[in-house]
Amino acid sequence: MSEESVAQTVQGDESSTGKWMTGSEAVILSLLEEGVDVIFGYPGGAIMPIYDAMYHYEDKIRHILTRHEQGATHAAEGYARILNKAGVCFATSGPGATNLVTGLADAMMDSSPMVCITGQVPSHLLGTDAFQETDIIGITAPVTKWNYQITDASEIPEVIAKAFYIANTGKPGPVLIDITKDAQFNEFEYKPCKVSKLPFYTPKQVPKLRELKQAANLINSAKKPLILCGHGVLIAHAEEAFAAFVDKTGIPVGSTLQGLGAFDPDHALNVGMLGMHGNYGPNVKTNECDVMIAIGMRFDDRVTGNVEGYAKQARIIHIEIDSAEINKVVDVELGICADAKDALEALMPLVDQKEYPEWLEEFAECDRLEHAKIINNDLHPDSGEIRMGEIMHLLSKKTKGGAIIVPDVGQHQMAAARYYDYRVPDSWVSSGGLGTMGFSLPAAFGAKVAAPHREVIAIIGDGSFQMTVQELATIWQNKLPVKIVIFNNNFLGMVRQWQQLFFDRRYSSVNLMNPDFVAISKGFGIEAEKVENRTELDGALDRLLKSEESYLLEIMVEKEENVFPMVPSGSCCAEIRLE
Amino acid sequence: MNNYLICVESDRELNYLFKILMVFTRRRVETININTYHVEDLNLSRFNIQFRADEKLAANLARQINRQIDVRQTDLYLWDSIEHKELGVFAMHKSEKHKKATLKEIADNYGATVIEKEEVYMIEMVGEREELDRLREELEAHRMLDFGYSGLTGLLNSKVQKKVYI
Repeated sequence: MSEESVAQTVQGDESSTGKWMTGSEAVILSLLEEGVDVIFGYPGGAIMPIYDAMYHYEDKIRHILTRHEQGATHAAEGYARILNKAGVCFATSGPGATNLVTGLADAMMDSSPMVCITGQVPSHLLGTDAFQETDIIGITAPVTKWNYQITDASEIPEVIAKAFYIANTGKPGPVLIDITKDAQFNEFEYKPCKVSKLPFYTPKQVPKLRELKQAANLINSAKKPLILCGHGVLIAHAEEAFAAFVDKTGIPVGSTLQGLGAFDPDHALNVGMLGMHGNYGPNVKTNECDVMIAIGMRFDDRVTGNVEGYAKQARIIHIEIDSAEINKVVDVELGICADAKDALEALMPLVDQKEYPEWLEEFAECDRLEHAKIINNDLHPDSGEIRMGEIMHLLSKKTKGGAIIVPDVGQHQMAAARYYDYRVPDSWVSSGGLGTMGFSLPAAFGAKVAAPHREVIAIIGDGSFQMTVQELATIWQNKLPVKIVIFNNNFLGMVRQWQQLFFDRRYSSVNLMNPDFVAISKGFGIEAEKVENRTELDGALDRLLKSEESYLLEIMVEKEENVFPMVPSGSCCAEIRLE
Repeated sequence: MNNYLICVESDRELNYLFKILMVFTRRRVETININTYHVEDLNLSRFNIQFRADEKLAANLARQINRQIDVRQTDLYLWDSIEHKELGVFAMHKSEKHKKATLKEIADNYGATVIEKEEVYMIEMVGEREELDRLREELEAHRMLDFGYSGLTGLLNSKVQKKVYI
């Protein structure tokens, strides 16, 4: 990388300017320059010089030693999602680096800022199949926003500054920096660096007045408008602007899975969640609205269902920071490439104060139907085994909707999305796009590191739990009081549900013979208990929440509970099934 | 379906081509022709990629490439709006039996040039692929040793080009 390649670099902290140091020390100083005080990682041969340099900065940087590099990436993502700034990971070369791939892909799909630094074999061994050498730049190219290999120590300050700038700005995402061992050892004259601009990279565009006026005209003339609220609203810190916009326009709001928490769950215009297991009303009304305003979302196939039948009647306005997402999946009438907050604030003076009582009543009717068919039984079952929904509902009440919920992937994730009231922004930390089983446990302690004073609850299925169970040791060693709730049905529940509904109940490899989770947890030094009856549930949740240390609750849930509503695969969202 | 040309400029080395091509691979779009070059003093790599797609997909591809951090600029053109040529080079056996005059006569018919080297005659021609192929077929009868095509190079044929996306 040349000096000219970054258009504007400014000098940062000058106390170490001009000092001769190793590339490894420069890595640490460059991270400090970016305000990094926590790193999740796992050492190994090719990154040992950097770990050695970090040893001298233990008072400034807290290193969380995970039990697997994948755990480090998920923890960094959990951390990033709470603080809206890049989480940092370290890993060694070869298998250490390849173990980052799932976490990088996850962060890429969910627009989570992350900077991963990997050690690499010395530059003279590159391409020789040396011990623990792998082409991590080639491997991670499709799952990173940017990646770069450093072979010259003097590149380190600029490249790291650039990495953070890229990861944190525009549509956030993961960046990987691979540093050869000789670049870590070599000495050079350190010059601190900050990057605030890059040539040919426009993190966000200013919304154009012509487009805003066109949008306002569409919105003001709508009879049955619908707003789709996505993760971009949270990333842009646009919650207040969004609420003001909704209050003024009177338009009902459906949230995507990743948009949960952006809009008050109790607001009269919040009509629920969109998508495959979302609420009945917003899915059905997607195909009845006349104007759709999609904000900070990308029309994921889990939201649209079969796109051929998706909102064909609607005139669609798409506000999205990434121009490549506009018209990618759904053809829109008007694309506004802008940050959600900028666009909403600019639109505010152009839109009319309105109300749509009859249109809202149509959502209310759908809501009554969904309550009668599904929700009432999920939350208040008369008898039988414990249902996932009632656990989440109880947790929501006990925490007043203020906890950070970190679900894993599967049925329990959908219960967590549907039945917890997210009253605080950035409280839903979930693997949405990639759907990574094993995400929850490490992401939860990452979130806890980011928000030590907030309650963090990992909601995990029995299958997911066993994918990253070793991270219990990280939780224990670092004394991170994360609360863990396992929904145990001795099944890979979501796969089983699909096999039941779409494969004539042929349950193929979904039965789980589980170990004793309570004993395992206690073996890792974490207090635990098992709940098998509804009568025990309330007290157990109280003990979980009152504990000042990490605590694990294994709850036996209904074995063959299905998550409804559901948009069957291949169907359009309006064909959502209530049973 | 139309033929398109995407012109990508990057300050990364030519190896960066792999990352650009990933966008095509993921969308299962087959490229027809790829031409790359690096201009050292401008620190510029240019990738010209010809492919066939419908208009929406072509525009999507261009946007997805354009958002890559190391891409300076991406332009998408309808293939027909581009002046495109290709260089063909043919190495011919040099002997008494194979006279320069014969080769020159053939080359002249195609607007090609014959260059005499120590051991071979080199015939160079700039043109469309079909013309190059016809010349190659004719030269094969005269002991052609080897040949190479440069790949199509497109240049804008007017100051006002129709960019298809954004």
